[in-house]
Amino acid sequence: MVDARKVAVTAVTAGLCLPLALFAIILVPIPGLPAASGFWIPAGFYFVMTLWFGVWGALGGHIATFLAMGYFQGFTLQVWADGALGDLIAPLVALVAFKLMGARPELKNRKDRIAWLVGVPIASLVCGLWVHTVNLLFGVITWPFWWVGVLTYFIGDSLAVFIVGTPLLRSLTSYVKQSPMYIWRD
Amino acid sequence: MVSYTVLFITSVYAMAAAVIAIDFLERRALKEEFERAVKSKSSLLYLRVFKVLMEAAVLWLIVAFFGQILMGWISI
Repeated sequence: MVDARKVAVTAVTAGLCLPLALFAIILVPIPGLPAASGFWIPAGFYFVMTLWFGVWGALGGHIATFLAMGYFQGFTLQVWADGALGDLIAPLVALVAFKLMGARPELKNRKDRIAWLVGVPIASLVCGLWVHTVNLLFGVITWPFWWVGVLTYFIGDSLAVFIVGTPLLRSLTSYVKQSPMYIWRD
Repeated sequence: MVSYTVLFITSVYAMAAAVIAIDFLERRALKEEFERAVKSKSSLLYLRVFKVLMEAAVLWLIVAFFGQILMGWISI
């Protein structure tokens, strides 16, 4: 069921990530790749919201990316099928990694930290592969740019998530745990 | 001579950063009281978390703004 708290989580994530996404595209563009950024700072925020609140956080990241990329690229199928969907998938991949490893987003013990260190690069790689393969298949980019895109997404997204997400998870998860919307129960 | 635009924007950013720093200190000082208050009013928890996330985003945008000037990408 959709309730006000879930809508609030999605709305706050989207509202928070939208300006960050816009400026990430402007500040660190990747020449030759449409509406792409080499340092995707909003990912740090929507990964954290997804690890706390599940798909509602990921949906916020998806909406923010759709609007930000749409601003530069036009609100076309390409935006839906590509960047915005990639940013919906990526945090969910990290969430699945945590579930599979039985880890928690508090990053308290070794298992949590390994899940974080492994899950984030895998999620960024999946996102990069999705986004740039769709771009390639739609004829938006060529093969040489496919490699550039996948590599920069892998490195740039992972870095942004580690730099922003790590302190947020470590400092705020103890509060968020008290929320009924926190998806992890011991 | 510093331009009026630089003076105004820097002042606003400095005030925003100061508010965030003071809020951080207040949060630390009122940690136990906050935890008690959350037990009776859970919406406070969301306000706290959303506010901290927004503060982190504002700090990033401030850093990014001056970063762009230092890199020569924008000028004011």
